[in-house]
Amino acid sequence: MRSAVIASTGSYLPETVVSNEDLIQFPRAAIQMIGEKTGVFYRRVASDKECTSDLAAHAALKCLEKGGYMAAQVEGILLATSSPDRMQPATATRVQHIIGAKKAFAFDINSVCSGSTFGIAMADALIKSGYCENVLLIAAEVYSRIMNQKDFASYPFFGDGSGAVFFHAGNTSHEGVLHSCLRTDGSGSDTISVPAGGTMMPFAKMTNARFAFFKMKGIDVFNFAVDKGYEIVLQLLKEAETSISNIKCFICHQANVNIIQKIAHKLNVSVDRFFMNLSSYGNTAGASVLIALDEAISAGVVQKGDLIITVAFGGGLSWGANLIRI
Amino acid sequence: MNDVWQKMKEVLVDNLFEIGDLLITRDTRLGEIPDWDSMAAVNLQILLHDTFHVDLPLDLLQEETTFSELITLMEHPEKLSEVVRKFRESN
Repeated sequence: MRSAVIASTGSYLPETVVSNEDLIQFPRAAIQMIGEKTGVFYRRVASDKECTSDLAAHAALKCLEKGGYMAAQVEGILLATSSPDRMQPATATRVQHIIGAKKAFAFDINSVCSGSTFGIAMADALIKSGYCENVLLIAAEVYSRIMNQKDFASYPFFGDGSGAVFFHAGNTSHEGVLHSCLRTDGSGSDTISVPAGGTMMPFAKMTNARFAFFKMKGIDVFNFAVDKGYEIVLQLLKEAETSISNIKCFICHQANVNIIQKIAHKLNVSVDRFFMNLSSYGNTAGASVLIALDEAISAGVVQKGDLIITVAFGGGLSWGANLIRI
Repeated sequence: MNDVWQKMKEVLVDNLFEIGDLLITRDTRLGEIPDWDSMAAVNLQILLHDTFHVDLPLDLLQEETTFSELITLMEHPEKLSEVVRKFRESN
Protein backbone atom coordinates (compact mmCIF):
# COMPACT_ATOMS: atom_id res chain seq x y z
CA MET A 1 0.00 0.00 0.00
CA ARG A 2 1.27 3.47 -0.88
CA SER A 3 1.76 6.09 1.79
CA ALA A 4 3.04 9.67 1.99
CA VAL A 5 6.40 9.49 3.73
CA ILE A 6 8.24 12.52 5.10
CA ALA A 7 11.39 12.90 3.01
CA SER A 8 12.49 16.25 4.39
CA THR A 9 11.32 19.27 6.40
CA GLY A 10 12.24 22.95 6.58
CA SER A 11 11.14 26.20 8.13
CA TYR A 12 11.80 29.90 7.90
CA LEU A 13 11.30 32.64 10.46
CA PRO A 14 11.84 36.27 9.44
CA GLU A 15 14.91 37.95 10.96
CA THR A 16 13.14 40.67 12.90
CA VAL A 17 12.47 39.62 16.48
CA VAL A 18 9.85 41.62 18.39
CA SER A 19 9.64 41.12 22.15
CA ASN A 20 6.59 41.88 24.26
CA GLU A 21 8.43 44.93 25.62
CA ASP A 22 8.90 46.18 22.05
CA LEU A 23 5.12 46.50 21.65
CA ILE A 24 5.12 50.12 22.74
CA GLN A 25 1.64 50.76 21.35
CA PHE A 26 0.21 48.98 24.41
CA PRO A 27 0.16 50.21 28.02
CA ARG A 28 3.14 48.99 30.06
CA ALA A 29 0.85 47.49 32.68
CA ALA A 30 -0.80 45.29 30.05
CA ILE A 31 2.43 43.86 28.61
CA GLN A 32 2.77 41.31 31.38
CA MET A 33 -0.66 39.95 30.49
CA ILE A 34 0.61 38.77 27.10
CA GLY A 35 3.00 36.20 28.54
CA GLU A 36 0.57 35.15 31.26
CA LYS A 37 -2.42 34.72 28.94
CA THR A 38 -0.63 32.99 26.08
CA GLY A 39 2.96 32.06 26.87
CA VAL A 40 4.18 34.27 24.01
CA PHE A 41 7.24 36.41 24.74
CA TYR A 42 8.68 36.99 21.27
CA ARG A 43 7.46 36.82 17.71
CA ARG A 44 9.01 37.25 14.27
CA VAL A 45 7.76 39.89 11.86
CA ALA A 46 8.27 39.85 8.10
CA SER A 47 10.20 42.74 6.58
CA ASP A 48 8.47 45.25 4.34
CA LYS A 49 10.00 43.48 1.34
CA GLU A 50 8.59 40.08 2.26
CA CYS A 51 5.12 38.73 1.62
CA THR A 52 3.63 35.30 2.27
CA SER A 53 4.99 33.71 -0.91
CA ASP A 54 8.50 34.86 -0.03
CA LEU A 55 8.31 33.20 3.39
CA ALA A 56 6.84 30.08 1.80
CA ALA A 57 9.61 29.93 -0.79
CA HIS A 58 12.31 30.24 1.89
CA ALA A 59 10.89 27.30 3.86
CA ALA A 60 10.41 25.26 0.67
CA LEU A 61 13.96 25.77 -0.52
CA LYS A 62 15.40 24.98 2.92
CA CYS A 63 13.30 21.81 3.02
CA LEU A 64 14.41 20.64 -0.43
CA GLU A 65 18.03 21.54 0.21
CA LYS A 66 18.09 19.69 3.53
CA GLY A 67 16.92 16.51 1.83
CA GLY A 68 19.10 16.95 -1.24
CA TYR A 69 16.16 17.36 -3.60
CA MET A 70 15.82 19.60 -6.64
CA ALA A 71 12.81 21.85 -7.18
CA ALA A 72 12.49 20.37 -10.65
CA GLN A 73 11.54 17.04 -9.04
CA VAL A 74 8.49 18.47 -7.27
CA GLU A 75 5.17 17.32 -8.78
CA GLY A 76 2.68 19.14 -6.59
CA ILE A 77 2.81 22.19 -4.31
CA LEU A 78 0.15 22.73 -1.67
CA LEU A 79 0.32 25.99 0.25
CA ALA A 80 -1.68 26.30 3.44
CA THR A 81 -2.23 29.96 4.16
CA SER A 82 -4.92 32.26 5.48
CA SER A 83 -2.91 35.41 4.79
CA PRO A 84 -2.35 35.12 1.03
CA ASP A 85 -0.37 37.59 -1.08
CA ARG A 86 -3.52 38.63 -2.91
CA MET A 87 -7.14 37.57 -3.14
CA GLN A 88 -6.17 35.91 -6.42
CA PRO A 89 -4.30 34.15 -7.89
CA ALA A 90 -3.26 31.36 -5.56
CA THR A 91 -0.16 32.39 -3.60
CA ALA A 92 1.24 28.92 -4.28
CA THR A 93 1.74 29.80 -7.95
CA ARG A 94 4.23 32.55 -7.08
CA VAL A 95 6.02 30.12 -4.78
CA GLN A 96 6.26 27.65 -7.65
CA HIS A 97 7.86 30.36 -9.77
CA ILE A 98 10.30 31.54 -7.07
CA ILE A 99 11.61 28.07 -6.28
CA GLY A 100 11.66 27.00 -9.93
CA ALA A 101 9.40 23.98 -9.64
CA LYS A 102 8.35 24.16 -13.27
CA LYS A 103 6.88 20.67 -13.45
CA ALA A 104 4.58 21.11 -10.45
CA PHE A 105 0.97 22.18 -10.15
CA ALA A 106 0.32 24.53 -7.23
CA PHE A 107 -2.69 25.65 -5.26
CA ASP A 108 -3.68 27.12 -1.88
CA ILE A 109 -5.55 25.60 1.03
CA ASN A 110 -7.24 28.01 3.41
CA SER A 111 -8.17 26.19 6.59
CA VAL A 112 -6.78 29.01 8.74
CA CYS A 113 -4.88 27.63 11.74
CA SER A 114 -5.78 24.03 10.82
CA GLY A 115 -4.10 24.47 7.42
CA SER A 116 -1.12 22.22 8.12
CA THR A 117 -3.20 19.27 9.26
CA PHE A 118 -5.59 19.63 6.32
CA GLY A 119 -2.57 19.98 4.02
CA ILE A 120 -0.97 16.80 5.36
CA ALA A 121 -4.20 14.92 4.70
CA MET A 122 -4.43 16.33 1.14
CA ALA A 123 -0.79 15.55 0.35
CA ASP A 124 -1.35 12.02 1.64
CA ALA A 125 -4.48 11.63 -0.52
CA LEU A 126 -2.68 12.83 -3.67
CA ILE A 127 0.11 10.35 -3.12
CA LYS A 128 -2.06 7.44 -1.97
CA SER A 129 -4.29 7.84 -5.01
CA GLY A 130 -1.28 7.53 -7.28
CA TYR A 131 -1.80 11.00 -8.74
CA CYS A 132 1.61 12.17 -7.49
CA GLU A 133 4.90 10.56 -6.59
CA ASN A 134 5.72 13.50 -4.35
CA VAL A 135 4.11 16.61 -2.88
CA LEU A 136 5.69 19.67 -1.34
CA LEU A 137 3.42 20.91 1.43
CA ILE A 138 4.15 24.43 2.64
CA ALA A 139 2.38 26.51 5.28
CA ALA A 140 3.13 30.22 5.48
CA GLU A 141 1.52 33.15 7.24
CA VAL A 142 2.16 36.88 7.54
CA TYR A 143 -0.48 37.82 10.10
CA SER A 144 1.34 41.04 10.96
CA ARG A 145 -0.21 42.42 7.74
CA ILE A 146 -3.81 41.43 8.39
CA MET A 147 -4.08 42.55 12.00
CA ASN A 148 -4.60 45.95 13.52
CA GLN A 149 -1.40 46.73 15.38
CA LYS A 150 -3.44 48.41 18.12
CA ASP A 151 -5.73 45.46 18.82
CA PHE A 152 -4.46 44.08 22.10
CA ALA A 153 -6.80 41.09 21.82
CA SER A 154 -5.00 39.72 18.77
CA TYR A 155 -1.84 41.50 17.64
CA PRO A 156 0.53 40.48 20.48
CA PHE A 157 -0.24 36.81 20.15
CA PHE A 158 0.64 36.21 16.52
CA GLY A 159 3.83 36.01 14.53
CA ASP A 160 4.97 35.45 10.95
CA GLY A 161 6.67 32.31 9.69
CA SER A 162 6.62 29.32 7.37
CA GLY A 163 7.24 25.60 7.37
CA ALA A 164 7.50 22.91 4.72
CA VAL A 165 7.40 19.14 4.36
CA PHE A 166 8.40 17.19 1.26
CA PHE A 167 6.41 13.98 1.03
CA HIS A 168 7.28 11.16 -1.32
CA ALA A 169 5.53 7.89 -2.07
CA GLY A 170 6.45 4.99 0.14
CA ASN A 171 5.43 1.39 -0.36
CA THR A 172 4.57 0.42 3.17
CA SER A 173 1.55 1.01 5.33
CA HIS A 174 3.73 1.32 8.43
CA GLU A 175 5.52 4.57 7.60
CA GLY A 176 4.45 8.09 6.76
CA VAL A 177 0.92 9.48 7.16
CA LEU A 178 -1.05 6.60 8.64
CA HIS A 179 -4.38 8.28 9.25
CA SER A 180 -6.04 11.70 9.31
CA CYS A 181 -9.22 13.16 10.80
CA LEU A 182 -10.58 16.45 9.49
CA ARG A 183 -13.62 18.33 10.77
CA THR A 184 -15.34 21.68 10.16
CA ASP A 185 -18.34 23.51 11.62
CA GLY A 186 -19.39 26.43 9.46
CA SER A 187 -21.91 27.64 12.03
CA GLY A 188 -18.87 29.20 13.70
CA SER A 189 -17.57 30.94 10.60
CA ASP A 190 -17.84 34.35 12.29
CA THR A 191 -15.78 33.32 15.31
CA ILE A 192 -12.45 33.92 13.58
CA SER A 193 -12.44 36.10 10.49
CA VAL A 194 -11.27 39.03 8.44
CA PRO A 195 -14.76 40.37 7.69
CA ALA A 196 -14.02 42.63 4.71
CA GLY A 197 -12.28 42.26 1.40
CA GLY A 198 -14.27 39.34 0.03
CA THR A 199 -17.60 39.13 -1.76
CA MET A 200 -19.58 39.27 1.48
CA MET A 201 -18.25 42.72 2.32
CA PRO A 202 -16.18 44.23 -0.51
CA PHE A 203 -13.82 47.00 0.61
CA ALA A 204 -15.95 49.49 -1.34
CA LYS A 205 -18.94 48.67 0.88
CA MET A 206 -17.05 48.49 4.14
CA THR A 207 -18.77 50.67 6.73
CA ASN A 208 -15.95 50.65 9.25
CA ALA A 209 -12.17 50.34 8.91
CA ARG A 210 -11.99 47.75 11.69
CA PHE A 211 -13.67 45.20 9.39
CA ALA A 212 -10.50 45.07 7.29
CA PHE A 213 -8.60 43.39 10.11
CA PHE A 214 -8.41 39.94 11.63
CA LYS A 215 -10.76 39.42 14.53
CA MET A 216 -11.43 36.51 16.83
CA LYS A 217 -13.78 35.93 19.73
CA GLY A 218 -11.13 35.04 22.24
CA ILE A 219 -13.11 33.16 24.87
CA ASP A 220 -15.11 31.17 22.30
CA VAL A 221 -11.92 30.26 20.46
CA PHE A 222 -10.19 29.14 23.65
CA ASN A 223 -13.01 26.80 24.65
CA PHE A 224 -13.43 25.47 21.12
CA ALA A 225 -9.71 24.76 20.79
CA VAL A 226 -9.48 22.84 24.05
CA ASP A 227 -12.60 20.77 23.37
CA LYS A 228 -11.96 19.96 19.72
CA GLY A 229 -8.21 19.54 20.08
CA TYR A 230 -8.87 16.88 22.70
CA GLU A 231 -11.75 15.22 20.83
CA ILE A 232 -9.98 14.94 17.49
CA VAL A 233 -6.95 13.25 19.04
CA LEU A 234 -9.20 10.65 20.66
CA GLN A 235 -11.08 10.19 17.38
CA LEU A 236 -7.81 9.74 15.47
CA LEU A 237 -6.51 7.15 17.93
CA LYS A 238 -9.79 5.27 17.83
CA GLU A 239 -10.02 5.19 14.04
CA ALA A 240 -6.36 4.20 13.70
CA GLU A 241 -6.78 1.58 16.42
CA THR A 242 -3.76 2.67 18.37
CA SER A 243 -3.10 3.78 21.93
CA ILE A 244 -2.05 7.17 23.19
CA SER A 245 0.86 5.49 24.98
CA ASN A 246 2.39 4.73 21.56
CA ILE A 247 2.63 8.43 20.69
CA LYS A 248 6.13 9.80 21.16
CA CYS A 249 5.29 13.43 20.56
CA PHE A 250 2.32 15.70 19.92
CA ILE A 251 2.91 18.51 17.45
CA CYS A 252 0.04 20.81 18.36
CA HIS A 253 -0.95 24.13 16.82
CA GLN A 254 1.04 26.70 18.78
CA ALA A 255 -1.94 28.86 19.68
CA ASN A 256 -1.54 29.36 23.39
CA VAL A 257 0.37 27.55 26.12
CA ASN A 258 -2.76 27.37 28.26
CA ILE A 259 -4.71 25.65 25.47
CA ILE A 260 -1.95 23.08 24.97
CA GLN A 261 -1.71 22.43 28.71
CA LYS A 262 -5.45 21.92 28.98
CA ILE A 263 -5.51 19.50 26.03
CA ALA A 264 -2.63 17.53 27.57
CA HIS A 265 -4.46 17.45 30.90
CA LYS A 266 -7.70 16.23 29.31
CA LEU A 267 -5.78 13.52 27.43
CA ASN A 268 -4.07 12.60 30.69
CA VAL A 269 -0.60 12.85 29.18
CA SER A 270 2.36 14.93 30.33
CA VAL A 271 2.60 18.30 28.63
CA ASP A 272 6.28 17.44 28.12
CA ARG A 273 5.14 15.22 25.24
CA PHE A 274 3.80 18.31 23.47
CA PHE A 275 6.50 20.10 21.48
CA MET A 276 6.34 23.86 22.05
CA ASN A 277 8.07 26.86 20.49
CA LEU A 278 5.35 29.48 20.84
CA SER A 279 7.27 31.48 23.43
CA SER A 280 9.72 32.43 20.67
CA TYR A 281 7.47 32.70 17.64
CA GLY A 282 3.96 33.35 18.90
CA ASN A 283 1.01 31.86 17.07
CA THR A 284 2.03 31.52 13.43
CA ALA A 285 -1.50 30.34 12.52
CA GLY A 286 -1.55 27.72 9.76
CA ALA A 287 2.24 27.52 9.70
CA SER A 288 2.79 26.64 13.34
CA VAL A 289 2.49 22.84 13.04
CA LEU A 290 4.98 22.56 10.17
CA ILE A 291 7.44 24.92 11.85
CA ALA A 292 7.20 22.91 15.07
CA LEU A 293 7.52 19.62 13.16
CA ASP A 294 10.70 20.81 11.46
CA GLU A 295 12.18 22.01 14.74
CA ALA A 296 11.22 18.81 16.58
CA ILE A 297 12.90 16.67 13.90
CA SER A 298 15.95 18.94 13.67
CA ALA A 299 16.37 18.91 17.45
CA GLY A 300 16.09 15.13 17.59
CA VAL A 301 12.96 15.31 19.74
CA VAL A 302 11.28 13.28 17.02
CA GLN A 303 13.31 10.59 15.26
CA LYS A 304 12.95 8.04 12.50
CA GLY A 305 10.42 5.42 13.48
CA ASP A 306 8.63 7.57 16.07
CA LEU A 307 4.86 7.77 16.03
CA ILE A 308 3.58 11.33 16.32
CA ILE A 309 0.29 13.20 16.16
CA THR A 310 -0.12 16.59 14.54
CA VAL A 311 -3.22 18.43 15.71
CA ALA A 312 -4.62 21.89 14.97
CA PHE A 313 -7.79 23.96 15.29
CA GLY A 314 -8.85 27.34 13.97
CA GLY A 315 -11.08 29.46 11.78
CA GLY A 316 -13.94 27.89 9.90
CA LEU A 317 -14.34 26.57 12.45
CA SER A 318 -11.98 23.76 11.50
CA TRP A 319 -9.92 21.17 13.30
CA GLY A 320 -7.83 18.23 12.25
CA ALA A 321 -5.23 15.69 13.28
CA ASN A 322 -2.81 13.32 11.57
CA LEU A 323 -1.10 10.16 12.79
CA ILE A 324 2.38 9.97 11.28
CA ARG A 325 5.21 7.46 11.55
CA ILE A 326 8.39 9.47 10.95
CA MET B 1 -21.96 65.30 28.83
CA ASN B 2 -23.41 65.09 25.32
CA ASP B 3 -20.17 66.13 23.65
CA VAL B 4 -18.09 63.62 25.57
CA TRP B 5 -20.65 60.87 25.02
CA GLN B 6 -20.91 61.56 21.29
CA LYS B 7 -17.17 61.52 20.91
CA MET B 8 -16.80 58.39 23.03
CA LYS B 9 -19.53 56.59 21.13
CA GLU B 10 -18.04 57.51 17.78
CA VAL B 11 -14.56 56.35 18.76
CA LEU B 12 -15.80 53.09 20.27
CA VAL B 13 -18.03 52.16 17.34
CA ASP B 14 -15.22 52.92 14.91
CA ASN B 15 -12.40 51.29 16.79
CA LEU B 16 -13.39 48.91 19.56
CA PHE B 17 -13.12 45.54 17.83
CA GLU B 18 -15.20 43.67 20.36
CA ILE B 19 -18.28 45.88 20.09
CA GLY B 20 -19.67 44.15 16.99
CA ASP B 21 -23.18 45.37 16.11
CA LEU B 22 -24.11 46.32 19.68
CA LEU B 23 -26.03 49.60 19.92
CA ILE B 24 -24.51 51.24 22.95
CA THR B 25 -26.21 53.73 25.27
CA ARG B 26 -24.97 55.57 28.33
CA ASP B 27 -26.46 52.81 30.48
CA THR B 28 -24.74 49.98 28.65
CA ARG B 29 -22.50 47.98 30.97
CA LEU B 30 -19.10 46.95 29.65
CA GLY B 31 -20.07 43.35 30.30
CA GLU B 32 -22.78 43.69 27.67
CA ILE B 33 -20.16 44.12 24.94
CA PRO B 34 -20.28 40.78 23.06
CA ASP B 35 -16.61 39.86 23.38
CA TRP B 36 -15.80 41.67 26.60
CA ASP B 37 -12.79 40.26 28.46
CA SER B 38 -9.53 41.49 29.93
CA MET B 39 -8.09 41.97 26.44
CA ALA B 40 -11.04 44.11 25.40
CA ALA B 41 -10.52 46.14 28.57
CA VAL B 42 -7.00 46.98 27.41
CA ASN B 43 -8.33 48.00 24.00
CA LEU B 44 -10.87 50.29 25.68
CA GLN B 45 -8.19 51.71 27.96
CA ILE B 46 -6.01 52.56 24.94
CA LEU B 47 -8.90 54.19 23.06
CA LEU B 48 -9.90 56.36 26.01
CA HIS B 49 -6.30 57.40 26.54
CA ASP B 50 -5.77 58.26 22.88
CA THR B 51 -9.06 60.18 22.70
CA PHE B 52 -9.37 61.91 26.08
CA HIS B 53 -5.81 61.66 27.39
CA VAL B 54 -7.04 60.05 30.59
CA ASP B 55 -5.26 56.99 32.01
CA LEU B 56 -7.87 54.70 33.52
CA PRO B 57 -6.56 51.77 35.56
CA LEU B 58 -7.67 48.40 34.18
CA ASP B 59 -9.41 47.36 37.38
CA LEU B 60 -11.88 50.19 36.88
CA LEU B 61 -13.00 48.73 33.57
CA GLN B 62 -15.18 46.01 35.05
CA GLU B 63 -18.20 44.21 33.61
CA GLU B 64 -20.51 46.30 35.82
CA THR B 65 -18.99 49.65 34.80
CA THR B 66 -21.37 51.71 32.63
CA PHE B 67 -20.47 54.18 29.91
CA SER B 68 -22.19 56.82 32.00
CA GLU B 69 -19.60 56.30 34.73
CA LEU B 70 -16.80 56.53 32.20
CA ILE B 71 -18.23 59.78 30.82
CA THR B 72 -18.11 61.29 34.31
CA LEU B 73 -14.46 60.37 34.59
CA MET B 74 -13.65 61.78 31.16
CA GLU B 75 -15.37 65.04 32.08
CA HIS B 76 -13.74 65.27 35.48
CA PRO B 77 -10.35 63.57 35.28
CA GLU B 78 -9.37 65.35 38.51
CA LYS B 79 -11.78 62.99 40.29
CA LEU B 80 -10.08 59.92 38.93
CA SER B 81 -7.72 59.24 41.82
CA GLU B 82 -10.57 59.61 44.32
CA VAL B 83 -12.81 57.27 42.31
CA VAL B 84 -10.04 54.72 41.96
CA ARG B 85 -9.35 54.84 45.70
CA LYS B 86 -13.03 54.35 46.56
CA PHE B 87 -13.41 51.62 43.99
CA ARG B 88 -10.44 49.68 45.33
CA GLU B 89 -11.62 50.08 48.91
CA SER B 90 -15.02 48.67 48.06
CA ASN B 91 -13.60 45.70 46.16
